[in-house]
Amino acid sequence: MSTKLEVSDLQGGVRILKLTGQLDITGVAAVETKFYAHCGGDKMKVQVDLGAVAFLSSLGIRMLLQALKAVNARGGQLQFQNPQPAVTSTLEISGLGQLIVRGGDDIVAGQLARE
Amino acid sequence: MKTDVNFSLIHASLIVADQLKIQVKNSFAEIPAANEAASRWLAEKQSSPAIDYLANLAIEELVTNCIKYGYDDADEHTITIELELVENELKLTVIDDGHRFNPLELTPPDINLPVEDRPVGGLGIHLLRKMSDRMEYARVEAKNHLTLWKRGSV
Repeated sequence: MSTKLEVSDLQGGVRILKLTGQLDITGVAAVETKFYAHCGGDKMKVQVDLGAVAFLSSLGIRMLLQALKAVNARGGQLQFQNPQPAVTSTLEISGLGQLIVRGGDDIVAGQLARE
Repeated sequence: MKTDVNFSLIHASLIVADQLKIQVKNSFAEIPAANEAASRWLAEKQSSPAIDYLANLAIEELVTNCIKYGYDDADEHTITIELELVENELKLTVIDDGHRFNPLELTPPDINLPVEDRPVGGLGIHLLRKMSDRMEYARVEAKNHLTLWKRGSV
C-alpha cells in the first residue's frame, strides 16, 4: 500500500495530518517533504492521525520527532491520534507515548484547541 | 547506488523447510522487496502479526545500518537475511561483510530527554532490542552476524 498524507484544518485552528500506509523507508520518502511543510507556522496545533498507519520504523519516528521539535520550537503543540497497537508500542518504546491521544477528530481537536 | 524498487533486485531467495534465505545488494532500493519476501513466507507459515512486524522492522533497520555504516568502500556487497521458524519462535539473522561492528555495544538512547534536546536518530537498534526476546552479535569468518529471536503465537 502506498503511503499518503491528507491535510484538513478544523475549527479552533487545529490541523489534522492523516497518514495512511507504512512509515518505512519508502513511505517516509513519499510524504516527508509535504509533512514537514504542513507543520510550519507559529503556534500550530497539529493532530497527526496514525489510525491507518500499519508500520512505523525508526525512519518514521525520525520524521515524527523532527516535526514535533519544529512545532514545539515555534510555540505549538503536536499529538499522535489513535495509533494501532504495534505502532503504539513503537511510539512508547521511543519515548513518545505521552503524546498519544484517543478519540474522534472533533473530540481530540476540541481538547487541543482549548489547551 | 540503485534507486529503482524492483523485486528482481533480490538475486537469490532460497526456501529450505522452515527457513528462508534472502540475499540483497547494499542498496536501499532492495529493502522493500526483501520485506515483501519475508512477509509472504511468514504468511505461508501462518505466523503472527507481531512476528511479521518485527521481521519487517529488523530487515529495514539492520540492512539500513549495514548500507549506511558498514562499508569502507563504494563497491557492491551482498547482505544475507536468514529467517527460521522453530516451534513458533522466529530467528532472524542479518549477515554482512562490512567492517567489524557490534551495534549491541552502542549506548542506548536517552528517551527521557526533553524533546528539544533529543537527537532524531539512533532508535533502530533500541526498538529491536525492546521488541525482540533477545539479540546476539558474532563476528564469523570476517562477517558480522546479528541475530534476534522472537516467540509469537501462530
